[in-house]
Parts: sequence; structure tokens; C-alpha cells
Amino acid sequence: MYIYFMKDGNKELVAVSLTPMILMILRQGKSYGYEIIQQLKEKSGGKLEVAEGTLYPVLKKMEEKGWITAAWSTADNGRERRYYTLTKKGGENLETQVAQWNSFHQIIQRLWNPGISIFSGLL
Amino acid sequence: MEPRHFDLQRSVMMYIQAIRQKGGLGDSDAAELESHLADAVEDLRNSGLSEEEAFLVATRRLGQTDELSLEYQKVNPVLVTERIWAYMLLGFSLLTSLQWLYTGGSQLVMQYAAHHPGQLFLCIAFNLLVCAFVWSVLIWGRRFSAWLQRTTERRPWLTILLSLGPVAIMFRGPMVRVPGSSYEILYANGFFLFTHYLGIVSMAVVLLLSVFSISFPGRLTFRGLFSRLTAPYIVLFGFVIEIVAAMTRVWGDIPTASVLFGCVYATGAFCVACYPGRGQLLRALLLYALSGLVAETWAGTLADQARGHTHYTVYFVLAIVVGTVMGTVAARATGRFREVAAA
Repeated sequence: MYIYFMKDGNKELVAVSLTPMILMILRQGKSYGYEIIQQLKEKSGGKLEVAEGTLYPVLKKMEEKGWITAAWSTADNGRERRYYTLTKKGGENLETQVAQWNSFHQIIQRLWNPGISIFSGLL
Repeated sequence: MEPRHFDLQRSVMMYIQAIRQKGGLGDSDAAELESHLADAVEDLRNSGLSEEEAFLVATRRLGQTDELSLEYQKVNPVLVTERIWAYMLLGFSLLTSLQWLYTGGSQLVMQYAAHHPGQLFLCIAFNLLVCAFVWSVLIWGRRFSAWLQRTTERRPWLTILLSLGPVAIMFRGPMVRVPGSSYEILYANGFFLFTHYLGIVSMAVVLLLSVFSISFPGRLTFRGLFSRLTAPYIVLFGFVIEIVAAMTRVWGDIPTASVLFGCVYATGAFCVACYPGRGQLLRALLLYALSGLVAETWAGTLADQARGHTHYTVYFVLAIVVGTVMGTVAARATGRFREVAAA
């Protein structure tokens, strides 16, 4: 999937993690496309190389799923912007996704450090 | 040199229009990208870039128009389907309206000319005018189709009205009645019949050419049409030439008809023989004359047998061979002339 890629990184992995990242940004309050991209760049410390325009189709997909809502409104500088807001359903989905990511992270950690038993967490 | 003035608003519109033309972008999406570009340009200008530099960096970061269009098409499939339907409706109505304009228009002219001394001249002039109009579509067609595309996407209701107009008129039935005797005079005349058929064939040829020219950038030129000949294209071109050549039969006099027949083949051969290299020439000419030779020897012989003791086929096959050779010689001679002139 051509959307975002980390410098010398795995495109697919970044594409998959993009949705929770956007949801997390919107969890802090409503925002618009350009601002979301700036935050992604800032939080990644410049590690995310962005084809910015393709963020919008991703936002549309999330809107269709009911995770976010969008509405046009006029900003302080008089510019029309489409603001995205996290919905209740989106918040719940984010929690599930974060829980999944944490599980994956733990599994990877244990596999990476074989000294720690993969079952130790279960015991 | 005077510095070139950069128009930001226009450049933004052109960039978004480029994505829009490839499909998938709705009005709201376009407005959102526009707003994004405005924010990005403002930020970049604050960091010291000129307006033009800021625009270039902002669009580079936004992405290539092809890729953006593809991503938008995935999330806006309805938009793509609507476009297909709109164009299908448009195509249908354009074809029907062309046909209606031709038959309706020629009936009007015939009715007007029925009691007029210059009847024949008027009708032939109308036919030639139709041919000129049809061929001008090929030359100016890109502007027309660009206008149609803009209209379909911005004001679909106008396209619907445009599409339904000719269809509605068609259902009204024949508009005028032409006296039978007037038809007889016209259809007995070779020039009238030839120009009449030429109009119909022109429409078919222009339609085919517009399909083949999809991948040609810019305006169609003679070189554009005949410098990159593929086998199916040559065969199709040969088929069209055979139809145009066969139309010369409207002159009942066989020797005259076969000379004209040969002239049509010579013109076609000139077009085919202009650009291929020496190794490709023979193959191109054989493919070109294929439909004609098959049609004339097979159907012509059958017709000769049906008529009894006529030998018209000999004239026409000979006309194909002689015409093709003459056209080729002329093309190669002028080709050499062009090379000398260029050198």
C-alpha cells in the first residue's frame, strides 16, 4: 500500500499503524488534515516520510466505518477547513487496537529475548 | 528577460483539476486539498520560500496526481461509476444526435432544394459540409471533449439535457417530407451519392480514429496518424479505404469508376508508405491492400458470375494494384524530397 513509509522502513507496517495513530491524534481533540500530518511528522521526529494527499482517502475510509465524523467550519484565519472528530465507536476501536498492539509488542519482546519464557506472562 | 509572473490560485486549480480529470475526486475532496495546499504554502512562505517555491514543495509533498487519483478512486467508487454512466449516456446521445443531424439536416436541405434550380449543387454542398464538420471534430475534438468532461463533472444536469435533447427530437419522428421525384433525381447522380456515403463513412472513420488516438498526446497530425503503424491499424485502415473506394461504384460507368477506385487506393497507399522503413514497407502494403484484394476477388467474381459475362473484377483488382504502387512511389519520392529539403 502506497501511503506512508518510514525512512528505510516497512511500508506495510506503517500503513497498518496509521489508523490508530490518527485516532490517537483525534483523541486529543478535533483536527484537520494538514494539522494531523504536521503532528504525525512532529511525533515521529521526522522519521515518517509522507505523501500527504493520501492521508485524506484514509480519513474517508475511517469516516465510512463510523470511527470519526467530519464537518466543514471556518477557522480563525477565515479559511474553510474540514474538521475531524473522534466518535464513541472510534474511541472504542482505538482501545481495542492499542490492546492488540501491546499484545503484539509483548510477544515480539519475548521472542526477541528468548531468555524470558513466552509463557512467563501467563503463569 | 522579464520575470514570469506566478499565479498561485491558477496553479492550485490546475493541480487539483489534474487529479479530478483522472477521476475519483469529489467536490468536497477537491476543496479539502485546496485548503491543505493553502495551509502548506503559507507555512513554507513563513519559512522564507517564494510563492512559487512554496507551491512546488507543497504539491511535491501532497503527492503525484496519478497516485492520489488512484487512492481517491478506492474510497469513492460511486463517483467512478457515475462517471462511466454519464459518459455512456453522452456517447449514446452524441452518436444518435450525429445521425439525426445528418438525416434530419439532409432532409431539410432536400425539401428546400426540391423546387430550386440548384437542387443538386445545394445537396452536394450540404454533404461536403457534413464531411468537413465531421473531420473538424477530429482536429478540434480534444477541446470539445475537454469541455464535455468539465461540464459532465461540474454541471451534470447540463449533460443530461444535452443528451436528452437529440433523443427527444428523434422520437418526434421524421420532420419533413421530401417529394419522391426529388429523391430520384438526387440518387441517380454519382456526385450526390458519393458525397452522401462519404459523410456516413467519415463519421465511422472519425469515431475509429478517436479511439486509436487516445494514446496520442496533443493534436492529431498526419505524422501522428501514420508514423507508428501497427498491423491491426493498417488492416483497419485498408478496410476503410476499401469502403471509400467501393463507393466510387456509384458512377455506373465501369472504366471511370475503376480509375476513381484506383485513385482512392493510391491516396491510402501514400499515407501507409510515407514512414515505414524499407524492411517494413512490403508488409505494410500487403496488409493495407489485403481487405481490398480479398473483397474484390471473392465478392467481385461472384457478382460477375451472377451478372453473366461481365469482367468487372479485373478492372478493380488492377486498380488496387496500380493505385497502391502509384501511391507508394509518390510517397517514397516525396519522402526523398523531404529528406533532401531537411538536409
